[in-house]
Amino acid sequence: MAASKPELRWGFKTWADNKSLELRSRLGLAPYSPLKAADLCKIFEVHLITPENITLLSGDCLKTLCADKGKEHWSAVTIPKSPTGYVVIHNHSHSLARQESNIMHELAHIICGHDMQSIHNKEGLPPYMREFPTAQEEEAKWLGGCLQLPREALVWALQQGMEQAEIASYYLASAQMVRLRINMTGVSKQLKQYSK
Amino acid sequence: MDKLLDTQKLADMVKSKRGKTGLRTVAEEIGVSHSTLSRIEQGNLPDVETFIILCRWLNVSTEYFTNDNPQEKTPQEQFLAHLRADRTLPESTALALMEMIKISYAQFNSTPHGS
Repeated sequence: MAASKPELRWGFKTWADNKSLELRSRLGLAPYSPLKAADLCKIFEVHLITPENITLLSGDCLKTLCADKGKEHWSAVTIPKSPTGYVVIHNHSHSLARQESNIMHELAHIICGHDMQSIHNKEGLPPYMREFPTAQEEEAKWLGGCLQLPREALVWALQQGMEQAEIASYYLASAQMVRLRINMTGVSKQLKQYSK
Repeated sequence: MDKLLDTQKLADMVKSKRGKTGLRTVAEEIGVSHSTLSRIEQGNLPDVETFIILCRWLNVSTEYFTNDNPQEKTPQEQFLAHLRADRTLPESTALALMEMIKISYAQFNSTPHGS
């Protein structure tokens, strides 16, 4: 039987909702305001770059990650930066909405305090083979969605009569993300007459 | 000693054992998604957990598919990163990501973390 996704730990969803509102408040934003990933980066000392900003990266490497089919397979990398903070290298060949989602996901890992993966030989395996921390990925996925589209923002937007496409554009999210968040937060049940 | 994975050898062995049985059936039996199994059979690089599961199903040790890397550079350095990417990757993409992590570490850190 294929492994199922781990459940989020008890209280995490409430924590994530509250964190999204707290961070908006820190930036002087209303609960229903759009939140740009680049603005959130400033709070967490995240230096946001693309592969072209990595000075000594080879042309072949750049081509693999940004021009060839390889660009379809990765979204972002986060590394620590000395003395403090982080560098997030993101894939700017993706749509703007997906770029926002990618960066929010990386920020979510930082906000959750997730340990970074160690990239080195594991049990005699090549260092470029990765471990996939499923539980942490599910947490970052959930929090990333909360950061882009808090429940309060969805309720506000639907009460304003915004269609899902408008909501996506306003909050720099993908149509898929809007649909998912509406379904997962249950606002669609509460505001059934606004769903399109 | 740095290792390389023979993804083609892995792909061939998985395809051979699956034979004419459907992809979804075998994927469920192994405990991976059918899309992951399909990508493995196309020669893509699995993540560690998937690779270990496949080796158990194939009844071979992980060493059966790994070779020493003749181009190994010493000393071994340890890098920490979050990586958002597909669970199975073309080997060229995995290697490019690894290279990007190493070089960006050098650019943004005075020394590697641990070694």
